[in-house]
Amino acid sequence: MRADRIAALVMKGALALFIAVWVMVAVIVGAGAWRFVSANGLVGPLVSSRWSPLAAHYGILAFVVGSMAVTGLALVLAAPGVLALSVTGARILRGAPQRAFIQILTLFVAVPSVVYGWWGLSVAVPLIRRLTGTAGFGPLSAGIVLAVMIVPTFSIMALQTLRQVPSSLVEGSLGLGASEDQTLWHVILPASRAGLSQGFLVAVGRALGETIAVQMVIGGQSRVLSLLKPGATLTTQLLTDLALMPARTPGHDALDFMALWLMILMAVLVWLQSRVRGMSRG
Amino acid sequence: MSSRRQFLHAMGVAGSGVLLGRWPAWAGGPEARYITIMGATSCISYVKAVLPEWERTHHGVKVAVTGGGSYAGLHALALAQADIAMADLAPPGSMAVPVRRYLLGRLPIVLAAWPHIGVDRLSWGQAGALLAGDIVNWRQVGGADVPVVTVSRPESSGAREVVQQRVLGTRRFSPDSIIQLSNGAVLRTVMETPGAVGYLEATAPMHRVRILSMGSRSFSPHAWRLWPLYAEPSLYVRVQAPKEVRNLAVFLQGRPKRQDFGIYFEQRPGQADAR
Repeated sequence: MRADRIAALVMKGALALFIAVWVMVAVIVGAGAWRFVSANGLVGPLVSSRWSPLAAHYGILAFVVGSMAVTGLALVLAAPGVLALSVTGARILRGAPQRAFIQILTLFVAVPSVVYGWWGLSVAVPLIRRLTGTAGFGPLSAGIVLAVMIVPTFSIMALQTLRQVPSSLVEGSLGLGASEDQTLWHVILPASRAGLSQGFLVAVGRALGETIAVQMVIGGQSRVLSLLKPGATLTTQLLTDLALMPARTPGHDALDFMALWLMILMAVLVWLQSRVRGMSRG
Repeated sequence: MSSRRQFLHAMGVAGSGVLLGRWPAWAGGPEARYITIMGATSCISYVKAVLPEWERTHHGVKVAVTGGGSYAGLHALALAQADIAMADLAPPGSMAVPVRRYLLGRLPIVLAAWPHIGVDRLSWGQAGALLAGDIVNWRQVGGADVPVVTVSRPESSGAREVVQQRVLGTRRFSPDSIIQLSNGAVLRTVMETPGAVGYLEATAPMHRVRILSMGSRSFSPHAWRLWPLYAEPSLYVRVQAPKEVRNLAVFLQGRPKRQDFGIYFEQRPGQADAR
């Protein structure tokens, strides 16, 4: 009984600490963003791509567009791999090979992002350089690195969803004379739509929030959109300029504004996820 | 009701700890004294290498060393977030806190290029035009027919500031430059990217890149006094800093080992000049 009370207290303490930390982050970022908006307005920074914080130019358009472009590119590049891996793991492999396959995918989920960035420097950047004749640093390389990063996460979620499709649906389809491919496209995938959407949103979240792997290959310039020239995202610019503008300096508020935008984008993703969950239950 | 009270109590304790940045006194706390050194990454290896020697004679003092760049170090010093700033730059005029400077020496900065560009020497004007993106092919300066790719550091870098002032003058770095966060990342990028040129603090082995001569001067570690492009890494301490902090700065200024880390000096150890 006493142990139960202690356990409950520990749990509540952990929850309280979590809430306190989260509130602290939100208050600090929100206060800085508020000061920034008060001084610079809300719309101006969002439609300008001129970023020179030491000269008080705080246009973040290039970083917002960069984040969305790199994330979108990663999702497009990852999609075929995710589909292939999840279908292989869920519908083709059975028994021990299937378990080994899932373990290997899980292992790739656990690889630190700096390792993916290193891979990007060693493989993706030279590849783009050879294919395009450019320096190789830019959103295209970043998109490739992110695609490789999100494939395992997205694949595992998709794989688990595909495995949950009732066998009666599959057998019914096959029994009516549909081929394996027709069953996959017209029965299994539509039946897994809600779970796949959730996996998709988790992958978007991971791609949008990734920093170090992207920073290593993107080039670091404030440019609205060129896939083959150096660019930047919200997260990479935050990393680059944190050193330049420590807390309680005017430019730091601009970083808080950027961080707030990231948090808003993430909050929208979480909201969408909950909507998708609701759909799947309904 | 009781569980709600417990929850609110736990939240209050956790919240005060997190928001105030420390735990209540009854929760116990470290008794060690802390000194924070922050700033130029070019000095970190040297400082870390000699620090254990100082710590051995100063029991109970813990020293934390962190990078971030010269600007970050100086800002942190002004805001009392750091006790010692390492910086390749002089403190900005807007810095209201009176500080004392401990010069460590000279840190040569060299222009490094991809090995196969076919050029060994640049004039100062050519170097500036290359870094500004006005020269776009090495053929324009007598080299191979290879497009120029410029590699630079973020604005927080002291080396960047030195190159801006001494080489570029009123021009700006090319907007197409690849920005790398560290000296090592610049070295790797220059080494591997055809046509690349960037600037390096001469603290690390620089093989597999071509070190360019500037005007009539070629860089050699043995003739560092003659090399015209350099930063002056220094330690900055608030004038009102505790004795221990000043003692550490004097110690760091006096170790000849810094030459092993690319910081060359000719001043008498222990000499400090006030600002």
